[in-house]
Amino acid sequence: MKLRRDPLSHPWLFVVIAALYGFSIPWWFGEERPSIVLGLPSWAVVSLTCTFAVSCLVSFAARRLWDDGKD
Amino acid sequence: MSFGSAVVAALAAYIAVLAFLGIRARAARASESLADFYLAGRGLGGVVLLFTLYATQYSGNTLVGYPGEAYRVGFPWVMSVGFMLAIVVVYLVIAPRLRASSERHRFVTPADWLDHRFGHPGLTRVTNLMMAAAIANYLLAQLMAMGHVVAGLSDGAIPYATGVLVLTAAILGYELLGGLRAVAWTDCLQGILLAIGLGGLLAATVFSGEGIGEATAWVLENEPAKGFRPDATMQATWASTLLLIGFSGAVYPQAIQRIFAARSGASLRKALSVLAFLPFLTTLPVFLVGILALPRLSGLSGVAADQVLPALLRGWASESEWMFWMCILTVVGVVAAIMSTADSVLLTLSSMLAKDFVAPVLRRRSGGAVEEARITRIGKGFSLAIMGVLVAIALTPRISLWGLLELKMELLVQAAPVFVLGLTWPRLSAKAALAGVICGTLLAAGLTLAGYGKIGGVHAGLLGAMLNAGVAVAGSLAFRRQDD
Repeated sequence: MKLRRDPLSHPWLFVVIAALYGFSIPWWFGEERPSIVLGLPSWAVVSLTCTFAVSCLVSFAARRLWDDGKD
Repeated sequence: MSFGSAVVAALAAYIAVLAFLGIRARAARASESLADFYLAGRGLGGVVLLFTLYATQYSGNTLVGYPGEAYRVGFPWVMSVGFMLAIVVVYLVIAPRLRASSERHRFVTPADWLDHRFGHPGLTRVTNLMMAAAIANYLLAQLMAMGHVVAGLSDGAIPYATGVLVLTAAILGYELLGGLRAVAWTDCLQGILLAIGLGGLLAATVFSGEGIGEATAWVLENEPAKGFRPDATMQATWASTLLLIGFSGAVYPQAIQRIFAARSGASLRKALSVLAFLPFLTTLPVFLVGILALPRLSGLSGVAADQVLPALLRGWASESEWMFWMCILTVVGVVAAIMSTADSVLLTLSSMLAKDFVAPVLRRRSGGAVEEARITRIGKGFSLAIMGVLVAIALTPRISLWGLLELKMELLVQAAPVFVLGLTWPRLSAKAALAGVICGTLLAAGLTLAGYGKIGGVHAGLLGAMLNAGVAVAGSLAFRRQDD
């Protein structure tokens, strides 16, 4: 069996995932007291949002960017 | 009914269902071949594959250890959602090629792929030995966790030693009967129980009075270090943990065997596309429980971090009858999470020892092929022997192996460059990869055992893996030769 398409042949996917992971770490947030959004500190909400975007991308890539010609 | 006796009754019912599934899996076997016993005949469909990947990936540590970590670290522990997802990201890199290759060459253990890709017995042996040592440590940790969790959550109704012995016997029973088929089917039950347990936890947190917003406000007011932006060292640890868990979690031998066991590429793709969202249904609620515990348990002195979940459950169970039964389900879910990880590790470990270490010796001695049924029987013997030795260690509290247990991820992540580079970079040479593994392992183990588990917030295991990958790439470029 030969792979027709593989997520690795889409480098943009991993660049976007790395960028989202980079923003999930709150280095960009100031040292002030965070406001509370949806019950959590604002920086934690942004972090979870970035992580959720990675989940969506991974799910998309598993379904659409990977083709082993067996469907 | 007391909390302790309800836990005993629920666990007895759970073990009876496991035994039934083991017997059904035995009846479904097609042959005594290695692929049938260890890979369920390469027939795992999307749903079973999803549950078995899920139940194997999320161990008891996720449910018991992580609320404790969230309680100890505070909001930065939100990283746990990201690092469990990072494992699926690395699957995207290695699974398509590994799966395609395994369909052509019928691999059973990770060593089969190593032999196929590199054809270098030294690299296969060293990498395999490291993976086996890492998962043996992991298995021991699961056995000890089974005893502690059952003793702690049953209010002492089931003593530590009884918990270890009974649950180990249950695992051995269904695993020896049905191999991976039994393990995967029980993983489905365990995955469902895990989900119900987490639902119970979430329900308990929602109905227990204090909401997450109040808990967050309390943390920002009373323990600001746990709610404000983490400092630079913690940010480095965050990034390091994403990489360490992502790469080591994806090359767990039991995870790789599940890639080989998938019925088709399509079932694996479907399983991974759902698995990508499960950190939000598993790690996130567990993190929130730890945060909710901060104001609740702050007044209690001497609450060890790993006692957070038992302390919360006992408190919630006394609030109402409905909460009482949700807490019982959570306890069974926790035990199921530990068992589903332990059974997968045991099966993989026995397959590696029988097929990769003993079968080649038998083949050399007999000068020809060895019957697969015989290797399967030897593997079952290894399962019994491994559990015998590990239970003896787990029941001897004076032997402290926690220092060794810490080496699990440090060792395992050293196998990642071999798999990731080996699958994605044709020029990687076996000798350079072996040199990388040895250098990386020495650095990671040396630093960890010398007490430098992290340097500047970065894990010793990750520093080792970076050296490992660097040596492998530089060596391959320097020699400019392909081994395969």
